[in-house]
Amino acid sequence: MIRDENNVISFVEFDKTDNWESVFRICPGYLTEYAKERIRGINVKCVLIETQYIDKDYRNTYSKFHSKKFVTPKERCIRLHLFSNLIDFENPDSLIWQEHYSGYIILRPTLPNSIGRTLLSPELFINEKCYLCLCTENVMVNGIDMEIEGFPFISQDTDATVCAQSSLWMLLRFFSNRYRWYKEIYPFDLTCLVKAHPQGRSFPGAGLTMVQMADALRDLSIAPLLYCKNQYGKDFFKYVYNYIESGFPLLLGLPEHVVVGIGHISDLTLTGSTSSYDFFQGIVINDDNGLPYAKITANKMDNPFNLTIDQIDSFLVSLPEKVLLSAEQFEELVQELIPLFKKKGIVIPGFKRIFLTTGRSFKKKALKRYRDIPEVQKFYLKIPLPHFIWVCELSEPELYSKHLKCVGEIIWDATSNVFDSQFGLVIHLPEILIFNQGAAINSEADYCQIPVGNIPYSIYNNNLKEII
Amino acid sequence: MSATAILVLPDRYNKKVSPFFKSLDEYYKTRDDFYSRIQPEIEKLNEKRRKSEEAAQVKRYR
Repeated sequence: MIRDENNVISFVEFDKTDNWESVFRICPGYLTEYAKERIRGINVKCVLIETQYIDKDYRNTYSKFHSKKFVTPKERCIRLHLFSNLIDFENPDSLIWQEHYSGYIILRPTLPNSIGRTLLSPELFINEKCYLCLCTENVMVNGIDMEIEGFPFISQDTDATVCAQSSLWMLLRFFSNRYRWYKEIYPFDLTCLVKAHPQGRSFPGAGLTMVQMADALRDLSIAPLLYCKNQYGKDFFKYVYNYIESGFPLLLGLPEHVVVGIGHISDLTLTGSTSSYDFFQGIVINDDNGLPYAKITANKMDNPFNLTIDQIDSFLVSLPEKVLLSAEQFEELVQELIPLFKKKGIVIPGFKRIFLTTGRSFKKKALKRYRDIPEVQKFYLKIPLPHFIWVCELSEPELYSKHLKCVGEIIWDATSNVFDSQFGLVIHLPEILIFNQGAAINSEADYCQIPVGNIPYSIYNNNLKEII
Repeated sequence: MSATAILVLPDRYNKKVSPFFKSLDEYYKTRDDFYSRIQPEIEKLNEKRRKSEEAAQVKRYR
């Protein structure tokens, strides 16, 4: 059923007569057959359509680029609000609308790629367990303020933006949505940032190198790190996993294309593991050529464009400026601690999970995680921690995969240089906790130990959200 | 190592806290040994990073 078809806001309930085709009919000229084909696969029950929507991101490129043409596209967009279940359009109920709200798609008048800013719930696309970086946005629909959690998506317009700018935009919008200290950046402004590091003309977009993208990020006070597969070999995907596990989406370089890695797929039923990376099966990506939340694994059938994970040849991680220690450096430091402790008769458990987080988040979770080991709980609540910390959780394979528990952790100051923090800040092992008291009071290194209980506790879980 | 002046922990911990290294000599020896083992490995990692950045100069994504 269609309500208010010719109004500024109309509503389509999916039933025997109406479906996505009815929505497309209300938005004539905005979508190619290729785009319609992709959208038809989204399983929803009703769509609210705003036909005169002013989108801040499109208006930014329209004002600064499209409007300068002799024949200009329309300046307004269409916004589609998707609902996973039927709602009462005539009598809005904020609780019910929020419960069934699945996000929005903005359609720009920029054929052939007209999918503009989009934020959809991952549940619409994901059909297996995965772990995603997500952010939330508040959306006003018919006077009702709703919230949606997802990862931002946008397609390239092929004029002002190509896949490199679209991927940068998705990454930066995630950061500005999730962390208040990142500024919101619009597509044309992003192109201007890249203009400061030119290689050829800026318009129409001729593509960007990873180094140009890294330079643009540096101008935003982000400290990017670049990894090429031919340098890191088999460890390459371990670092992909470590950074995603840390809650950092990645720019993934494929042959002539770049996509955003936003989560990982891990199969915890696999055996013979020595680290959480051994469960890693694939990456959830936002590819601006398709729709959000696509998969990329070893099997080309898993990806709508037959991409496979081995085609990824480089990646760029956007670390905060304060993070000086990289994933591979931290892993090396932990690796070298093992013989040092062995000499003193201390065995470090063999199963590891590595991630970066903030000292603040770690403390926040400590209250609950260490409730059965009060001496450790109180220690973490009292001890000063740096803004960013690298953590290597220690566990046993079955304890981790079946119970999601660990028995200790090694914590390193991520704001330190590789040689600055000696043996780290905290080495918490079953029955003993070693800590650098000197670092806690900004003084000379002073390693102390205290006896603690040996009780497994839940793994740290704050960087990513588990879906399904 | 001075494990007696526990400035960051409540008093009740002091009874349980002991130095991890028996002497300053042991601490310095362990630290120097640790540095000498990690230094060549970190240099190799830094070289990989430098080569990664060189390789990424040319390939365009559109």
